[in-house]
Amino acid sequence: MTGVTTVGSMSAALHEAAAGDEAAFTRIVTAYHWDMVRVAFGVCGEPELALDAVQAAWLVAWRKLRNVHEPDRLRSWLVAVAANEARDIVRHRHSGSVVELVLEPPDADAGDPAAEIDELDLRNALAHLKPEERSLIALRYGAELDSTEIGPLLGISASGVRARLSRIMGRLRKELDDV
Amino acid sequence: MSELDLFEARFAAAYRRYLDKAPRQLDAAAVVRTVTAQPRGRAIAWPWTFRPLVLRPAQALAWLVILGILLALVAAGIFVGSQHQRPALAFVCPPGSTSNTPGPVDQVRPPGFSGMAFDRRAGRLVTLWDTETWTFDVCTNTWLQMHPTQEPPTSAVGPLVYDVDSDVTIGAFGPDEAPGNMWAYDLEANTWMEKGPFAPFAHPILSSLSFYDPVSGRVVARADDGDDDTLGLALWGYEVETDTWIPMSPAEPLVIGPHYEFFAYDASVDRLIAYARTWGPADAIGNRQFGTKTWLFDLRTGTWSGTDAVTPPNFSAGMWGYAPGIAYDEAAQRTVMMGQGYSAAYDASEDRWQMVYETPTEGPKCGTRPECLQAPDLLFDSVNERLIVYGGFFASADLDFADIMAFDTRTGDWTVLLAAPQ
Repeated sequence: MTGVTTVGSMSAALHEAAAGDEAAFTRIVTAYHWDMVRVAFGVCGEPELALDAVQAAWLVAWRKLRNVHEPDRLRSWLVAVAANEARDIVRHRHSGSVVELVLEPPDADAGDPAAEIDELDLRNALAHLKPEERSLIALRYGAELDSTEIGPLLGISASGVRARLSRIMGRLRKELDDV
Repeated sequence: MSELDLFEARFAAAYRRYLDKAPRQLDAAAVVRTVTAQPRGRAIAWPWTFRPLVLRPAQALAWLVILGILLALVAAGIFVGSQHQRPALAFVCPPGSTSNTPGPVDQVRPPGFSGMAFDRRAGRLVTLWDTETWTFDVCTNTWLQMHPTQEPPTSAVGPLVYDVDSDVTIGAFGPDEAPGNMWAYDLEANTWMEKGPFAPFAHPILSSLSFYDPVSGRVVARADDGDDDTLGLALWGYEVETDTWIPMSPAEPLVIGPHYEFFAYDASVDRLIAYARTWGPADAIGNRQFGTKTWLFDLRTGTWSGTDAVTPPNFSAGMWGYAPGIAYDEAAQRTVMMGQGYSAAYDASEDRWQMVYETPTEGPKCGTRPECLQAPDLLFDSVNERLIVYGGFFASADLDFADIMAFDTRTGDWTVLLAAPQ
């Protein structure tokens, strides 16, 4: 999350941007663009698609800012919009994996629970997930939202978010964790 | 969220490093100019790339799709209204699906099926026959036996309810007719999980799983209060993750006299809709005076409220008829009843019943048209946005109904999804 942003400053920006103030909207874009790109990238796995998704998300945001009544939820709402746009782009672009599967290189750290997860392994594991599952992962571990924040954004309960994440993480654990 | 375990922490760290490789360049002013000045549907260049004003075909297609979705959403908001909520992670049939074409009649299928649930994340009906688990794909209209490693050890299959939050189909299975234990079927993992006992109702007779409550995210079991004269309910919500039953607001009993009733949950008003038929004493030649009324039950407060809607008298049960099918049609936002040669739909927002069809020759003379079905089961197919109709029988032909059909209450169109085996 961008460090200079405060809820107070964003509250004013949100109010002004909702009224059509482009300078205020620019402040919002500056504050949250990177968060949105990260989440969209987590869903798409491709930089250009992520940028396209975020641009589409800003279009949605500009039109619907008036619907955001709680400034402290602006960031979570924006990253969710970006995740939704990214998911739609992936679904309509191709129904398969987002990255090519590559044969695993030898892993000297296999079996060490403290070892870092190899990026290639991670990308392959993410490619096996559905776009909506990558959305959940991106919102939880990319945007670092908790289940009570994610639930309302996706129209499901917090317990439902936890259950789904638990299931997805179980599958990732099998793929990525040899322990 | 609970504290991260070791693997989750490793994953989170690796994932954040991965996301850090997302493109960082940004010209915020250019983004804003693009967004605020953009006429819809025109090819544009995004400001962080500074590339020529040309989109690749795939990108142009993606943008057309996005704009189409946006326009469709706007149109849906105007024409459908704000209360019709679609799940954020809804399943859609893949391109080339044949959801309007009957499935192959010679396909392998379960010998029979009764209680079914619709797994809206997978676009499949889920059912059990004996101890076999089967699913029916509404995009291809084909059955598939699932062969999970463990299946509920019973041939007594009651209602199944799909838990949207948890993405599992919930059932209660026990030996013989006993409610037994709760089971949850994860279609994606093809796994049944046995849980604890059924809800601790004070009057377990006439209790069963009933519907999914999107507000609490729980599957609700319902029991009659045991009093023939009162419209009373006992309700428990089941949370599968923790395998716990949570009592819902105690119902305020309502005395309406001898009656029977049929329920469906209407998400648009967050109420249980009850079609209640009462009867008075018989006259000298055995004729009884019947009355019908529609009641709404507020799950959150446990209170009933009567409606002024003129309630169709056509749906009876018990010794005078066969229980009609009832389900909430999410697409039309109406509660639909079907049976005895009639179908009617209740719009709670307008407090109005509307006849969907009335057969000119009801009862034994009706024939074997789908409108003539007695006691069908209904459930809503959220993928194709129509009701699935199965089960029941044709009284005139003494014939069980073994087809699976779809019915669109808005158009009155019937679609054969799978014909009965030859």
